[in-house]
Amino acid sequence: MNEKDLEDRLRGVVDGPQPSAPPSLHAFLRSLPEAHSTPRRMPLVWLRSAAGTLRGSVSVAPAARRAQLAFAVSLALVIGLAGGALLMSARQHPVPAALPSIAASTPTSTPRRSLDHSPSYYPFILGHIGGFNWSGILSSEDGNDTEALPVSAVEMVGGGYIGISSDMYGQNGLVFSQDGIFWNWDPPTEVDPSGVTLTSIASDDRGRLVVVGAAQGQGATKDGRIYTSTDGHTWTPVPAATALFGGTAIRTVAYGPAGYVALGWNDNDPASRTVREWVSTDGIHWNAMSGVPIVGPWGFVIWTTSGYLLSGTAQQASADQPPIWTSSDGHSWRRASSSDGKGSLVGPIISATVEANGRVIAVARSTDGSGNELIFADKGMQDTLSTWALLPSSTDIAAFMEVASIRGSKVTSDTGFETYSHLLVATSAASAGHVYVSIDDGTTWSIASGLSSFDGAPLGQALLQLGVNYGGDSAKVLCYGKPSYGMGIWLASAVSP
Amino acid sequence: MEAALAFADARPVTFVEVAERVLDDAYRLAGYILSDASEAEDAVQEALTRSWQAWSTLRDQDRFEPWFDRILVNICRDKLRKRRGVRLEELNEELAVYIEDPFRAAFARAEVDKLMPVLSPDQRIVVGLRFWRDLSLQQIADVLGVPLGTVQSRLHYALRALREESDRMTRASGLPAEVKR
Repeated sequence: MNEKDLEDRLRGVVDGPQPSAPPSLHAFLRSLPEAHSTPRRMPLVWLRSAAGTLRGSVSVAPAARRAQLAFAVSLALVIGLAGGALLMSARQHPVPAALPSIAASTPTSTPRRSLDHSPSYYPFILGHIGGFNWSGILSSEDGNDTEALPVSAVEMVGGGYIGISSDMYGQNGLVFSQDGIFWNWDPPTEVDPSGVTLTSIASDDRGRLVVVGAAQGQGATKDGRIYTSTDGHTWTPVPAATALFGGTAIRTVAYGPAGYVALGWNDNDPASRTVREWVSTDGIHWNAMSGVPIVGPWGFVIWTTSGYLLSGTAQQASADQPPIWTSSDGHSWRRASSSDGKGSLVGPIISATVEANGRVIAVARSTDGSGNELIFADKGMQDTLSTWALLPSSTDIAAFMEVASIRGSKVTSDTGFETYSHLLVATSAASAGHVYVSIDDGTTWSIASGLSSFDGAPLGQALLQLGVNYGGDSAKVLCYGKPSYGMGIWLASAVSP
Repeated sequence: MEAALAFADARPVTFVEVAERVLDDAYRLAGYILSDASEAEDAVQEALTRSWQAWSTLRDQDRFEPWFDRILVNICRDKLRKRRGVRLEELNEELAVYIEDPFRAAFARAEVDKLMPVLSPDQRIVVGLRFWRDLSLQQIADVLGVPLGTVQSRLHYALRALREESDRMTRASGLPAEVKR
C-alpha cells in the first residue's frame, strides 16, 4: 500500500457521523463545583468521585465508576502501605538530600538518625485532595476509616488540634486530633444544633476558643454567628448575635494581644461589597467597627509580631500602596506602602506566615491575572510591617497558593546535619500541586519531591494538613505532624499501579 | 480602584462553559486514540478533573483547547501504555454485536482496525492528532510539547509501520495488495 492510500484510509476513519460526548460526561462536567475563587474550600464532588464512594453523588459511566473504585481501592492500598512505609522510613531515616537540590534528590542512605520510638500506625489515605489545596484530613483515630475530609481551618489548642471540616454530606462542624494525624471526625461535631456553617477558628492565651460562621437568615441572607468555648466541646453563642452580625456571614477571625478581630461580608449581595469588622477583647462581647478599608468579597486578617495585618480588595489601588493595612489594636488601620513601586500588582492576600525573625511572607492575588504574587515585609526598626515588596521568586512560581513557616526546622543532608532557623513551605496550583520549600526567606525555592523529612512545628493555620495528590503516575503524600513525634513534615512519593 | 475591583471580577469561574465547548471534540479525540468509547469516556472525565483543578493556572483562556488536549493526550498515552501489557478479550461475542463501539466501528469501516496495534502509544497519538483531529504538524508539536522534528519523526515511523503491517497482512492472505484493498 502506498502512502497516499494509507493516509486516505486513516482519514476515512472520521468519515460519516461523528460520536458526541455521552450525557454522563456532560453531567460530570456540570457537577464540578465552581469554587476556584475560594482556595481554602475543598472540591467535595471530586473527593466523592475520586474516592469512589459510589454514593451516587456524581453521575459517571459504569466504566468510570469501576475505574474510580479500582483507583480508590488501589490508591488506598498503595498509598496506605507505601505512605505508612514511607512515614516509617521517614522516622527511621529522616535524612533528605540537601534542600537546594531537593528537586533532584532521591532518598539517601547516609547519614541516618534512629528514633527511639517506632511507628504503630498506618494512615489511611483515600481520595484526591484537591490537587493544590492539600487541605485534607485523611485518617481517623483508629486508622480504620477510609473517608477523606477537607479541613478549612486548624487551631492548635492545649497540645492538640481543632479543625473545621465538612463531611461527605456537607455537615459542617469541628474535628479533633491529639497529634494532627489521626482525627475524630465522624461526623464533625456540631457547635449549634440549629445549624451553622463554621468558617474560622481562633484561640486566646486564656484558653478560650472562638469559632465564627453563619446561619441561614431571612431569605437568601446569612446571619453571622460567633461561639465561644473553653473545652472545644461545649459552645455558647455570643448574645445579640443577630443585632450585631445580622445579614453578614462572618468569614474569618484572628486573635492577637489586643483581642479578637473578625471580618465578614455578604456573598449574596456582591453589589454592596461591604466588609464589616468586629472586635472583642474576650471573645464574648463584640463591637462593630466602622471604616474598614477593604471591600468584599474577600478579607484576610492575621496577627503578626507587629500587630494585626489586614488585606482585601483595595478601594483605591496604587503603585505605592498595596492593599495591606496594619493595626496594633484592630480599631484604626494604617495602610502599608510599596518599596518597589509594584503595589498595584498586589491583590488581596490569601495566605501569610510570620517567620521567626518577624518577617511576613504572603501570597497575594495579582491584579493583572498573571498568577499569585509572593510578597514580603520586614519587621524593621519601627517594629512595623509598613513596607512591602514583591519577592523576586514570585515570577518563578506564579501559582503559589499557601505559605507557612516551620520554625526551628532542621534539615539533614548528605554531608551532615544542618540546622536552619526556619523553613518556608508553600503549595502551588501549578504542576499538579507541587510543594515548594525555601531556606532563604523565599528568595529561592525548590520543589519538594521525593522522600524528605523535616523537623519542626507548624505555625499558623495554613499548613497543618495531611494530604495526597495524585498526579497521574505518582501519588505524593504530604503530612504535617507535631514536633513531639520527632518530625514535622513528610513529603513522600509513591507510584500508583 | 478600577484595577482592584476588576481583579475581583477577573476570576470568573467559567471552566464548565469553556470545557463544554470542547467536550465533543475531546471525546472523539480520546475515542479515536484509544479506539474504545468506554475508555474514552474515562479519559475525558479524568482530563476534566485534572484541568478543573489546574484551571486557575491557565492564564490565557483562549489557550484552553490545546492545554486541555495535552492533558487528555497524556492520559490517553498512559492508558495505551498500560493496555500494552494487558490482553483484552471479549467476554461475550454476541453481546459485543449489540453494544457497538462507534470508534471501533469506524476503524473497521476504514479497514485500519487490524493495523493500529502495531503503533506505539506515541505514534498512535501523532496519527490521531494528524488524521482524526486534522491538526498541522506544528499544532501537534504544540499540543504535545515536543519539537516539530519529533512529531515528523514519529509520524514518519508510524506511517511506515502501518504500511509494513498492511503489506505483511496482504502477503499473509496470499492476495496481491491491490486485490486485497
